[in-house]
Order: sequence, then structure tokens, then C-alpha cells
Amino acid sequence: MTRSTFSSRPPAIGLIALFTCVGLASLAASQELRVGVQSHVRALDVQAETSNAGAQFLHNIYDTLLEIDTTAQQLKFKPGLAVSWQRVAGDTLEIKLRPNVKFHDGSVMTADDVAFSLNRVFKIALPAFRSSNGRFFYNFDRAEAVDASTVRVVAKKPDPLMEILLAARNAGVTSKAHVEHVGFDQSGLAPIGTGPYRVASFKPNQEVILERFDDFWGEKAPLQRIRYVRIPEMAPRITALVNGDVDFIVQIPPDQEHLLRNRPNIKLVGTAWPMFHVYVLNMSVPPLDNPKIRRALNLAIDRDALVKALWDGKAVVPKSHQFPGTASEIPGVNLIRFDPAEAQKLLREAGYSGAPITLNFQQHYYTYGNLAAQAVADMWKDVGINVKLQVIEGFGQDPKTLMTRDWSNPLYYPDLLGAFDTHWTKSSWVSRDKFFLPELAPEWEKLYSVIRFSLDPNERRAAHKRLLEVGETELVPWVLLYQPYESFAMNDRVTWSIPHNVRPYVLSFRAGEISVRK
Amino acid sequence: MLRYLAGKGFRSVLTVFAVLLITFVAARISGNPFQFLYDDGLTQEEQAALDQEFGLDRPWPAQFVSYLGQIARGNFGRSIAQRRPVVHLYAEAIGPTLRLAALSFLATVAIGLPLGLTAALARHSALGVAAMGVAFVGYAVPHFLLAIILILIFSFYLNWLPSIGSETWWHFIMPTITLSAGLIAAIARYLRGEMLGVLSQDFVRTARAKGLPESMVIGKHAVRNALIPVITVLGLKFNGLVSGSLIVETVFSFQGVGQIFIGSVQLRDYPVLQFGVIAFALTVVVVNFLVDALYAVVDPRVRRSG
Amino acid sequence: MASLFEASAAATPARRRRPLPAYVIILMVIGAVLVLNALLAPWLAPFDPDTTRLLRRLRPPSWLGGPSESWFGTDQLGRDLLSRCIYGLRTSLGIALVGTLIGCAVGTTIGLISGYLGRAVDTVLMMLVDIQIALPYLLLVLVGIAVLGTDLSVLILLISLHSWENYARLVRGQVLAVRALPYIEASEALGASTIRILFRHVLPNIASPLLVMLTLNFPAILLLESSLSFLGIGVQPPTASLGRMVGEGRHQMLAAWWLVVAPAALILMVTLTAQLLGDWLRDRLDVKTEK
Repeated sequence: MTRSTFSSRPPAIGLIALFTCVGLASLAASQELRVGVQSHVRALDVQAETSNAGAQFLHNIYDTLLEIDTTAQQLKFKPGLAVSWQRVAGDTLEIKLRPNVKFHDGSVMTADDVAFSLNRVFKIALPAFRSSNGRFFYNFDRAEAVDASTVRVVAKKPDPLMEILLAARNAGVTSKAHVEHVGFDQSGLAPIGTGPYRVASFKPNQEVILERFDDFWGEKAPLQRIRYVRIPEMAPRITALVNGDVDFIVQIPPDQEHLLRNRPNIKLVGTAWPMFHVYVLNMSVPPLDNPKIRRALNLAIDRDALVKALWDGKAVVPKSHQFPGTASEIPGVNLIRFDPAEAQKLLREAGYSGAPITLNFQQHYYTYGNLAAQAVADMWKDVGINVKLQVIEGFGQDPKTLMTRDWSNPLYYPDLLGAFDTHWTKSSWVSRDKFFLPELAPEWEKLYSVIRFSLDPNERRAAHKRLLEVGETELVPWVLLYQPYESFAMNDRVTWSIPHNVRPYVLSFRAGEISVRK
Repeated sequence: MLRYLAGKGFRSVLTVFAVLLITFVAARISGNPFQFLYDDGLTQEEQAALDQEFGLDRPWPAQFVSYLGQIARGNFGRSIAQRRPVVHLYAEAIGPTLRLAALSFLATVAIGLPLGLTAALARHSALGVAAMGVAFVGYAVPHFLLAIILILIFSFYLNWLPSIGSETWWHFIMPTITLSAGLIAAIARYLRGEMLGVLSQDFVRTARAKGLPESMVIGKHAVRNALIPVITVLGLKFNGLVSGSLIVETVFSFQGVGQIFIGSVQLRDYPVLQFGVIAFALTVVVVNFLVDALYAVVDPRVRRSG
Repeated sequence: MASLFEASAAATPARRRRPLPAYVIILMVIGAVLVLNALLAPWLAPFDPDTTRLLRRLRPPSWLGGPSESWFGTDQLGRDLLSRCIYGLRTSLGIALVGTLIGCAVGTTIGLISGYLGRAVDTVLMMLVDIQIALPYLLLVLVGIAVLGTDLSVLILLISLHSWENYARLVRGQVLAVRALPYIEASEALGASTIRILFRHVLPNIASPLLVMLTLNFPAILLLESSLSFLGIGVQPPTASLGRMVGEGRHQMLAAWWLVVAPAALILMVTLTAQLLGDWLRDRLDVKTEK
């Protein structure tokens, strides 16, 4: 094997500078952004894909009727596929569609396409849509095409969240004709949307290439091409950026930042996501069926120590099940603290006799999940709890047999209920598998229904404040650990910041959201 | 002779069949794919409909028989997770994996054999000891650690080699080293052992006594005799290649057959899993059959005991 | 095959004449020290290996300015790395030893039965061997864990399945060779029982090649434990094992190299010692390990 058979790289020794130039040159010349992601998806169906991994792509491929201005701190809607929308009743929204919107296959979007796309998730036409329906759309009844440019969306009950939910990416619009022609399975592999980028090629779980869609209705995409490649391991991902093999990488935990900080040509953009890492406590299984013991588990955890040790102090310790700094935050709710003495007292009152409590968790799913579980187990031991650690495979395992399990609660949309409604309701697995028994707190149901359906913002906030208290001190179905902190690292020619008011992990590459210096 | 090979051939077919049967049953015992695909659960009707769509509602024996009929017609079915033909999944991934395997095999032969010979012939010299030292270390470090160390040195610090992907030959240097290190070590050690054994045997002594030059003795008699068992070992090392390849694919970020296969086990994607097992078993069986055939030709005694 | 037996028999008088080479003595001492360390872990480890002290995490070894009581430094959770190494060695050696021995026992038994009884039994058992070879081992492990759970005993069981077929093939071949020897034929003719022949005559004759194969397989099993840890299906936390420690420390290789270096060095030491001793044994006994 001679050197000449190695096609794209010159003999490498000592040519670091040259390589760096090559890397940068390719970014500037082709306007291709190469993104190294940790996880990928099997299909790109906008209604079916609800994972964090999917959020990295879908934002750029599909449009929603209402769009959220991701550059504004406060929640701000802007026209998307709708030019205007109006509440004609508490449960009805009438939407005027933007004319002459082209799909990626060149066809023109109609009211039928919009109604078709929304009804897919409103009605759970396929089990693939259940996740999306349960998280966002369960209170929607139907979408109907009134005329060629008008769509009416009707909810089952009056709903304060209609606009916000219709701006969730899972309410994106896809081509009815395409889906009906090739079928659900194929359309997920060769998706057709109306967004600023179209899918040029897609290798499931491995690579997706997006290209600027020249017939896009709005301001054209800032990048010619985006190539997302999956780089699951940390060291290669960081190395790929440092070498110029990619221009942008995701999911850098704080203890890896030092490898990238102070490097010429590289910058870091980090955030503590509006998302909790959570342990769900199984309220049906002794000894966890005793609320005092569940409360004791909470009080025994020194979250500050966890954050300081694992997250370099950058993750955020919660005060209640809401996120500081978000538009919907209710200030002054302090319910979570570290108080081992109180924990011990509660255990005594509960007559805790040393029955084993199992902490079930996944090994390589949540960042530091592995370490956190071991540290938390030790803190529980310190107050006299007999803890056993047990690794679980994932959601495929029968959860009814578990005592606890690890989970995350991201803020899916910027509302009081954005991290709540999708996780702590009847449609969630926590209810289905009897981990969560809200009926044990008589107030809960009533409070919840006010927050979910009242059209009066003040009434909603008051109810929510009480709900947070009941949740944290009476029901205690969860242990909130912290809001994880993660960084994105990129070539310093790229200007990008964390998008506001969209769910965590969205990689926003639309016009106004990213730019690349020539 | 022919009868011996025919017998072997029949056994090989039987082996593949048994492996497929075991996989078929084990996969179904280990869980239903839809439980893993749909985090938010399924209603009984949905589960039933999905099972029916993929023919999982029928009794296992019936499923197995129709699967056999299907593959007899060359149809390996659709992936349950990706909803496209199984062969497409593997076709996309086979390129990098084959290149990696071929390069690793070449490296193993090109480095392992000389290393083993040196270690045997220069047994008591520093050279021989050094040769064995290299081989030992190759067999003493976990694959993934070697891979990450290589990346940190040659990509992160030196920036000589790309750390991800499989586009050019440059991309294959570190993966090949990672995957072949253990094989090189194993081959070198077996060859050394065999050589030492052969060198002490009568026919070598006879050849020497006949006054044949040492290079002739070693080259023609000793090496040839020592190589045969080494070939057998190479055939048997195949299983290690799969797990090794999976780790290499993960660390160096390319979608190869190992990732497809393991993904299918994790999601209980039966058709993908079954195809992977059939392909693997066939390859093993064919390789071992060829080795056996070679053996039988060279050494008539085998026919009696085999 | 017959020549093999003669060779190892012939090696017996030589064994008395030649003294042990110095390096072998050193290796044996190292091996003994490692095993003693593992056995005496509860008395040797300065700290509890699983107790976390979050505020003392990622401290370098004491001789590099770390806390004076932690010679090897501390890990991501502030646990004493020396203590974890000692316990990790215990876990990993234990798994590898038990796994290797079970695999060897099962393989040897099958090989003995197969080789001695021959005919249909032999055919069936050798089919089993063929099947094992043609079945991807990782599939076996993943499915095994999915069905049986993640307990240490399950892991050992699955690890012991790793190379039984090699022993079975080896032993069967040796049995066939030994049975062809005149004196075994004679004792068969004299009506000695099968069991007696197997244990009195056959087993001692195949002990040396078996021993060599054991020492060669042992490092492979030890490395297997770390590969499984990388895939997240190895020893479960918080239990320390060398493979797990390397696997978990791999992200910190540049920031806290000691996390990986200490357990990796131990893996290296164990595998090197086993390999060198194995090769020495092989040279000494002059046996072949494959058919």
C-alpha cells in the first residue's frame, strides 16, 4: 500500500497548519455545515418522531402553522404556514394559510395537506403517533379544511394552549399526496416538508444531508448544505471538531470543555437546559407507597454537591418542578432542600425498617446518569436507607417490576405545563404503570384541570403554584435531580446561540438563527 | 475423500439450520420488538395489528416454516424498526465492514506471520523476545482503549489521521490497527508455538541430517507444517471479529454490519437479527469447511478421526 | 496426534534437570502477588471501594500532589482509586478465573465423553461445538442478559460459555489419540471401566495441553470483561472491575489519565503474566493447543 492510494489526504506529517486551513476552507467555500451528533434517528416523520435526537433535524425540515421566534427571550409567535390565526371560540382556532407554499417535491401546499397532517396526530392514526399525541395533541379533536386557504382547528374542550401546541414541531406539515402515495414507512425515510432545508439523503441512524430549499416561502436558508453525522463516542467527536473534520458538535458535558476552551478557531456555547433529570418513584410498591419515605429520599440528596462535583457547578439545582428564567416561571416557590436530619426523622416516623429500595437506572442514556445514581445511592445510605443499584435496559423492560427508574422531564413548550402535561398525566407511562397515583391527593385532579383548561392566566398560575406544592410535599412521585448543563462547540466562524422557547436539543439553522463568516 | 467432504458439507448445512433455529426461538423469548419500538406503549388492538402485519401472531413453528420458505425464495423480509428490506440495511453497511475485515486480515498475515516466525527462529535472542513482546501487548489492551489512545495521539494531538468516518483509505488506518492487534498477537503466538513443535520433530531432524540447507529446512518443511494449524486458528478467530468490529465501528463512527446487527438485537428486530446470524454462520461454516478441506488434502490422517 | 503424547511424556525427565528461568520465577511472583491482592482485598484496601466523596473527586495520585491518603488518586465520585483497583482486580480475576474454569470443565467433560463414547454421542456433541462456533457470541450474551438479568452470576455464566468449544475440540482430539495407544487398548481389553480409564489414564495425559490452553484463554476472557463493560453489559455499578474502570474512565483520558492508567496497567500485568507463563508452559511441555 503506497501513499498515493490514500486519496484525499496529503502525507500528513507536520502539516497541521495546512489541515486546519483545509478544514476551514471547506466550510467557507461550500457553505456546508458538518455537524457531529451523538445520536441519530431511524426515520424523519415529523408527527411520529418525538425524541431529543429528532429535534436536531425536524426544526429545519418542517414548518408549523405558527412559528416561535427562537431569538426572542419572551415567547413570541410569528406567522409560519399561517399568515393569521384567530380564536373564534375557546375551543376553535381559525387559520388563514399562506398562499403558494411549495413542498420539497415542488407541489403546492393546500388546506387538505394541513388538515391531513394535523389529523394524523389528533386521532392517533398509527401507534407511531401516540407519543406525540400524548405529549401535545390529546385535547385536539379535528382539523378541517374550510376552503382552499382556511383551516379550522377544533379542540375537545376549551384550551388555553392551542397556539403554543400548534407551534410545536410535531404539528409540522407534510404532503398528504406523498404520504398516501408511498406509505407511512417510506415517507419517514424520504420525508417531504415545506421548510428551508430539504432532505437530500438519509441513512437511518447514521447520516442525514440537508440542502437549501430554493423555493422556500420565507427568507432562504443561510447554509447551502448541512451534513449531520453520528459520532457516538466523546473523544472522536471532540477530535473531529479540533481537526476540522466537522464544524459543529453537540452534547459536550462540562468536564470535557477544557479540551476545547482556549483553542484558536473554536468556541463553546453552553446552557443549562430547561429539563430535569428525574427519578420516578413507584408509589404502588412498599416501602415507597409511604409518602414520608418518598419525601425522605428527596431530602437526603445533596444536589449542590452533585452539581458541583459532576457538572462543574454549571447544572442548576431546582427549587420546584419549574425552570428559573423561563417565561412561565412562578417566582418564590422553594420546595426542594437538602435536610438529612429531617429525612431521618421522616424515616423514623414512617417506621422504615430497612426494607431494600432499588434505584433502577440506565447506564449510558443520560449524561452522568451512571455516576449520579451511584452518588445518590451513597447519600441515601447516609440517612439509613438500604439501597440497591440495578441497571435496566430501557423502556422495553417491564416497568411494573421496578421500584424506581431514571427519566428526564424536558420543557417541551414554553408554558406552565410544558414539562408537566407530557409527563405527569394519564397518558403517560407513569400513570399507565401505576408509578404515579394522583388520586391519592384529592386536590390534584381539580387543580390540574384548572391549569390545563382554564382560559384565565391568573387562575392557572395560582392553581399551578398549589399543584407544585402538592406534588413536591404530599404526592412526591419524583426526585428531581438537576437541570443538566451541556455545551455545543463549533468552529468560530459559526455564529449560533441556544434557541429560546423551543424544546431542548433543537438545532436551529434557519435564517436569522445561524450564520457563517466567510 | 469426496465422501468425507460431503459429510462435512452436510454437517455444515445442519449447523447453519440449527443456529438459525436457536436464534429464531431465543430472539422471540427475549421480547417483542414493538415493546421496544414504542416507548409510550400500545393498545392490545395495535399490538395485535402490528404482530399480524409482520406475521408474529402465528405460532412459532408456523412462523419458522414460512420464514424458511421465504428465505428459500431469497426474501429476507423487512426490518421491523426501519420498515425497509433487511438486505438494504446490510448492503449499506457492508462496504466499510468488508474493507476493514480485509485490511485487518492482510495486516494479520503480513505482520503476524513474520512476527511469529521471528519469535520462533530467534527464540533466544533479543529480537525474538522483542517480537513476542509486541505480540503480547497487542493481546493485553482492550480494543476500545487502544482505539481511543490512537485517536488521541494521531488525531487529537498530531492531526495526522481523521478520527471519524470511512471515506478514504486514511480513515482505515487506525481501525485496522485496532481490530488486527489482537489477531496479530494470537497468530504470532500460535505460529511460534507450532514452529517450535515442528522444529523438534523427526522429519525436520531427518531433513537436516540429509544435509539440506537450513533455509530449505525451515522454509519448505517447517513453515509449511506449522502454517496448517495456524490457518485453522485463523478460521476460528472469526467470532472475535464481530465484537471487535462493533467496537471499532462505534469508536470510529461508521455504520458497519456490527452496528446493524447489535442494533437489531437491542430492538428485537427479528428479520434483521436472523439475517445477520445466517450470514455470520454461513461465513464461519464456509471458512471452516475450506480449512477442513485443505486439511484433509494435506493430512490424510484427519479423514479417520474427523 | 500420537507424537504429541510422546513429546509431553518425554518432557517429564527434562523438567527435573532444567531449573526455572529467572523470568519465570519473577512472573510467578507477580502472579502470586496479584492473586493475593485479589484474595486479601478487604484487608489491603485502605478505603471502602464504593464510598463516594463527591468533594474529593478526580484528585491526582498522592505523589503528584493529590491527597496524601490516596496513592492512586480518586475517581469521578471521589472514591479511592487504589481501593477500587484492588477490588476491581478481585472482581475481574474472579470472573475470569471462574469463567475460564467453568468453560474448561464443561468443554473437557464434553470432549471426554465425545471422544470416548464416539458414534452418535460424538456426532451430537460435535454438532453442538459447531453450532457454538457459528453463533455470534455477542448475540448469546445480549439475549442471555435480556432474559436472565444483569446479575454477576449471569455474567459469569455467559462468560464461561465463551470458549468451552475450544476445550471440547482439544480434549476430544487428545482422547482419540490417547485411546489409540497400545496400553489403553490393553486395559480396555482387560475390562477396566470407562470412567476409570478416563480418569486414570486419559485425563492425566491431556492435562498439560489443557493447562496451556487455560493460560492462553484466560487473558482473552479478562479482555472480554472489559469489552462487555464498554458495551454497558459488563459488571454492574457500583461494583468495581478493571474493565468497568477503564470503560468509565475513557472519557477522562486527557483530564484525569490516572483513572484509566491504573486499571489498564493491571489488566496489562495480568494478561502479560498469564500469556508469558502460558507460553513458557507450552515450550516446557511442548504441546500443541489446537488440533
